[in-house]
Amino acid sequence: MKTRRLTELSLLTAAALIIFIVELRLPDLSSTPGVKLGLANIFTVYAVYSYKAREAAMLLVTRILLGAIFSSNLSALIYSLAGGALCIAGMLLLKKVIPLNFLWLCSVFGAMLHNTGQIAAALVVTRSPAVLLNYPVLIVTGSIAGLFTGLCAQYVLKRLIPVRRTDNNNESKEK
Amino acid sequence: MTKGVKICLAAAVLIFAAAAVTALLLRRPSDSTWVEITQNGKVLYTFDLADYDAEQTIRIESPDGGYNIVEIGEDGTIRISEADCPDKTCIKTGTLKSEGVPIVCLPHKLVIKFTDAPQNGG
Repeated sequence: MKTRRLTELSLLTAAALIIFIVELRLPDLSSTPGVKLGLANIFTVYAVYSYKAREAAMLLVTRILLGAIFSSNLSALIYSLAGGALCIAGMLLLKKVIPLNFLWLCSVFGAMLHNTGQIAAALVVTRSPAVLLNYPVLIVTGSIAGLFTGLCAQYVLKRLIPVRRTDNNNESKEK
Repeated sequence: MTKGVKICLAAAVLIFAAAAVTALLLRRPSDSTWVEITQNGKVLYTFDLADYDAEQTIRIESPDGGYNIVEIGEDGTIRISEADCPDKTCIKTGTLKSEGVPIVCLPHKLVIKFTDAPQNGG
């Protein structure tokens, strides 16, 4: 991997981590566990649409692992990892069908898949079907949060694409 | 808009609508006063909240270490009042209100939910 790419990805991971930790400080939106905006997801969707699949997955895994360590909430790690894995796999597949203009739609599916993964992990851990009762609420709030973060990423990407293009041109000229 | 996007959009709207309807249906308050406490999938206690007219607390130890204190109020309410789990989600859930929203403590694998009254009186 080129140094430039590694630096970009590290910067994105750091920014995602900061936003993740800031969000933890906000009061809970609802008493249902798992209901949150998931602002760090902006970076995940952004990475899915502007980097290779491997790189986007790396960014997410690093963010989840470091996020769990920094928030000292390691017991939640298995839920974040299960949700994250399903979310990124689904979004990378959907990216082939959904163009950049509909990035928000991909993000909505990502959020739904994230909640699905979390509930599946909770089912395995608690072995109690009662956690399924939270599932519909999580899908509803998750889609709204996914729409919001998806739109954020979409607007950022659209404005960054011209910048990145000139950047890359300059770089190739320098060679 | 390509065909693929249209299908995805329709699917998203459908899932969202279905989830919204289910979520609203689950929010109804429970008609049962029977409560079941399970830990790690095993039923620890089943009892009728209507039987309690004085405040009582149950301390439930987790096999992996840690505890939850379940408080049963005199007005037939139940909540987790104290726990040493890191997220305290179970305490924030407050009192148990509807069949659709159980009190769950994921770190201690503890679930408190309404259940149907046993048919044979026990």
